[in-house]
Amino acid sequence: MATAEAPLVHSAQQLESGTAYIPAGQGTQYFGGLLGPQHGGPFPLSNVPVMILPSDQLPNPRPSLVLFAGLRDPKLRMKQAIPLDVTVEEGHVIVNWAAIDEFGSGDALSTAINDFAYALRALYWYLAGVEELGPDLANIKLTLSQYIEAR
Amino acid sequence: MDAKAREIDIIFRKLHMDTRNTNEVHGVFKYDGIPVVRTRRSFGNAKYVPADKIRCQLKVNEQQFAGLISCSVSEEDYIKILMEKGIISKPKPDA
Repeated sequence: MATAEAPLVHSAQQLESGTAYIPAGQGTQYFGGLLGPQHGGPFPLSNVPVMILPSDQLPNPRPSLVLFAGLRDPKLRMKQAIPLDVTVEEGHVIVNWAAIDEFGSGDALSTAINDFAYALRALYWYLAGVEELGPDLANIKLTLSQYIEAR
Repeated sequence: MDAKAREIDIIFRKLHMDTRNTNEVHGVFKYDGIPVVRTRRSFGNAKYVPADKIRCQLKVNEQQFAGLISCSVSEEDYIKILMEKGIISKPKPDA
């Protein structure tokens, strides 16, 4: 999966707003280094809390559930949104509609959802074209009819 | 081809599934000409194959799925599994 690796932070200090005096001729040595505490700024002291967490304790920005309604087929209309569980397997995002065991996968959530949309369109049109189905596929067709209809 | 994709193709062939290639390989297992189970796998080496999700679509447990890939579960065994789950109607006894 294409995610940026966060740099490891061992310690951090929140600096107050203001200015710092850098002696003439020494300015370049501050670039990439630490600035000292700043003084005399026109702004009030900051009350923004800062918390540094190891990467394995960071909150997951990806939702565990998304509501899908982006079928992208002009011949079909969504009647209601489909709840998709979101998981990650071996660095790949998987979205799954447990009611019919249909899934999508991709390097990111958006590509997994696109993959799911493709699979769902293909499944809908396949089932729509078959008269006699086994009980499981008939149930899937019935479930799909509660969420999707032809225009 | 990814090892998992190869394994799914083994199942497609073993179960004589009807396959059609679009952006992906779609497989349908038919019994007496009636579609009863469907699954799919993506094309391409870079595509991830979520084997566990495919296993769920095939309506088998992990042991049965492994058996489908190896030699221990045949097409006849698979039909029995689906009959026990009610996904295929059991044949009526001869009158």
